Amino acid sequence: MSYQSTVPAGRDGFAQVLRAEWTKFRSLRSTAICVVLMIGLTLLLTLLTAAGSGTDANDGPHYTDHFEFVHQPMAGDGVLVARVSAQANSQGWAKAGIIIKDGTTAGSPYAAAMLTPAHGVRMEGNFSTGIPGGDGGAPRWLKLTRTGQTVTAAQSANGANWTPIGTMTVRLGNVAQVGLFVASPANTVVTKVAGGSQSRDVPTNGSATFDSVSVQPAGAAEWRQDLVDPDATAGTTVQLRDGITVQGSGDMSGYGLPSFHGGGNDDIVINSLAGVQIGLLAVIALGVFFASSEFKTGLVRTTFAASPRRGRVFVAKAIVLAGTVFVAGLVASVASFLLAQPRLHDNGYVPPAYPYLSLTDAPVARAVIGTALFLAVLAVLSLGVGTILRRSARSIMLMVGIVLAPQLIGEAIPNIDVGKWIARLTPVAGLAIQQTRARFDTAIAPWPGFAVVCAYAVLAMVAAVWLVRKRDA
Amino acid sequence: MMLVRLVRMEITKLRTVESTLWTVGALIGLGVGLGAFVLWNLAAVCEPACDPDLPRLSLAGVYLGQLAVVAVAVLAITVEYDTAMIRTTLAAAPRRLSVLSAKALAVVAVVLVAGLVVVLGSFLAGRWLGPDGLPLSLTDAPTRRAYLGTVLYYGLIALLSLGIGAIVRHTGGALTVIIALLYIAPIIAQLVNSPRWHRWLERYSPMPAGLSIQATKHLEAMPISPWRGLFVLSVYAAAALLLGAVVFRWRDA
Repeated sequence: MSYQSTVPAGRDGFAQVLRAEWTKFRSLRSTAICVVLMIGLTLLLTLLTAAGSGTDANDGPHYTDHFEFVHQPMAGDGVLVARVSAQANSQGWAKAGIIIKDGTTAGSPYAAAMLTPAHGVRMEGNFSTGIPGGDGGAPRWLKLTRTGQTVTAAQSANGANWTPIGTMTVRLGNVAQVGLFVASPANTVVTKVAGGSQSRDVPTNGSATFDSVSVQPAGAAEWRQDLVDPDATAGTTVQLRDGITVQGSGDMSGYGLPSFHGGGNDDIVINSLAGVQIGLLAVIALGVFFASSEFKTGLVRTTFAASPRRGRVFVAKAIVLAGTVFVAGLVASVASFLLAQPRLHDNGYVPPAYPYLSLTDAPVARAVIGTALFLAVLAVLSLGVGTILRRSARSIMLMVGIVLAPQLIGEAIPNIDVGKWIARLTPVAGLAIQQTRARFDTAIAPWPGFAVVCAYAVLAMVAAVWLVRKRDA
Repeated sequence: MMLVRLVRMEITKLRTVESTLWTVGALIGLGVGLGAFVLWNLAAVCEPACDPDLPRLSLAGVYLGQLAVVAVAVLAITVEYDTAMIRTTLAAAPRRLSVLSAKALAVVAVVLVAGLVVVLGSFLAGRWLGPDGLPLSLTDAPTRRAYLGTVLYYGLIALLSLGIGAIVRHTGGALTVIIALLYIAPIIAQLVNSPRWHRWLERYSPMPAGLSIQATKHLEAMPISPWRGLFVLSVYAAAALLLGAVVFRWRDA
């Protein structure tokens, strides 16, 4: 005669494991402390960073206008066509093409169709508007059509089939200067100096060859070449012929155009989320404690008795942890961003150098939500490390050693490239998700950086699950 | 006489805990290794000429090495709470302040010896790996101050950690608090650009102020002089140790 318990059999599906882990997690005293500490440290440090940052970017000129211009006057409406047969790759943002400009004075309104070595065909105008016109370099035909105050740009590979690039409104007088131009912006070179890094501009010299230049209605036979610059000297007369080579450096650019280097270069989205760099310490502690508390108290034996499929238990732990940290992290990052903005505005981060930001801007949303995602992944990594090492002290030290310390070591190393590699290969690469401006010290793009920290977390969890299944509890 | 026996007791505990061996090994390995790595990089960028603060660069391992010091010192006290060993200790030696003093002496002795090994290794690394034509000699007073001062820095970090360990009594919690305290200022300094803030952070926060003892060049441009900087760190350590002693004396174990 066999005994059958009258108690109905308990369910041991994944939902039950998840619920068990959630109960453990929320009843740990360290959970509440760490979550409060994470949000508190993040907000406090963000506010400190915002208060200690300032800029004078808006004091400088709001545009750059310096390029070599081969031109002749054109009265009223007309069409300008030319073929750029070759362009030297002097800089990624070197510009060569055709332009219609309200005189040769620096800062006057313009519209231009251009080729760039690294960014394809573009139409740009008025130091503020840029329209990408697809990939493709020299040789290429370009066309500008003026109708009143409206300028239309088009491009063609063969001079017969034209593809429109865009249209913009330009404040032009009756007589405008039309012609060929070449510009090539300076490169920013960064050197390490005592106590930080220093950037300086090294000019580049662009060069392009033109042919098949035509102006409709036909203008004067004489062309002039001028350097457009705030303090340029008088230019010279040139003979325009097919195969003419124009050399020039500089840029025509301003806020709103990607090649613009003037003014501020601070990434104020990073500055508005800076507190996370210390707040993450509480997240590391949270993840480590959630793992190590099982081993420290011997609770893990009870856990495995109740739910013998060990791998599943730790996956449930990771889900509970990541979910909680994501929500808390989102609270911290949204609040940080919103609280930091007014302070940054007070300290000079205002348009045009620094356009106002909103949480609904795509890069800002990516940075703010990405920060919460980063914290969640970091928590899972900490859980994995805590499970592998089973003790809180060594796990926290290892995590600090690979997450926090490398940032300071990178600063101490004289070779800036090694610093960048450290920023790429350590889990803190995940914070690249906060970048919204490419800077000279940018080590890795946002999503690849995030992938790095995810790879760490996946590796740690795989090793942790493998070990808990293999090891005695 | 009593204190000597207590110190021996504490040394025995430190000696027989597996983690001490690991952390002291990590301190020496990371402390020397990282500095050597930095110097090895220096040789690559120092063409044709540069003017590096060689002692400071060779001692860059302190950024990681101090983590091991923090671990040794914190574990010396929190492990006793984790395992309830503290009750046995206090039953055997009821005079609590003597126990804490003995712990401090034992930990500092271990850390100073290990620290001396680290700076000696860093010094030799500096002589071998530093750029040619940059002599590194202990007869130079600022150089000597940088190397011996770093040993003192390690000792003060140990005392600071012991104090916070006695206050928090929880291994992970104490480690988190100390690391936050040490690393907050340098991280903020990387982000803010106000010179006033930089000066303030360098002067009054424990890690940057304490590490100014390593400077041998451009001393006139430093926000705080080397010895004054180390003094700031010792104020932090004294405050933590004092508060730790008060709560250790009067709180239930």
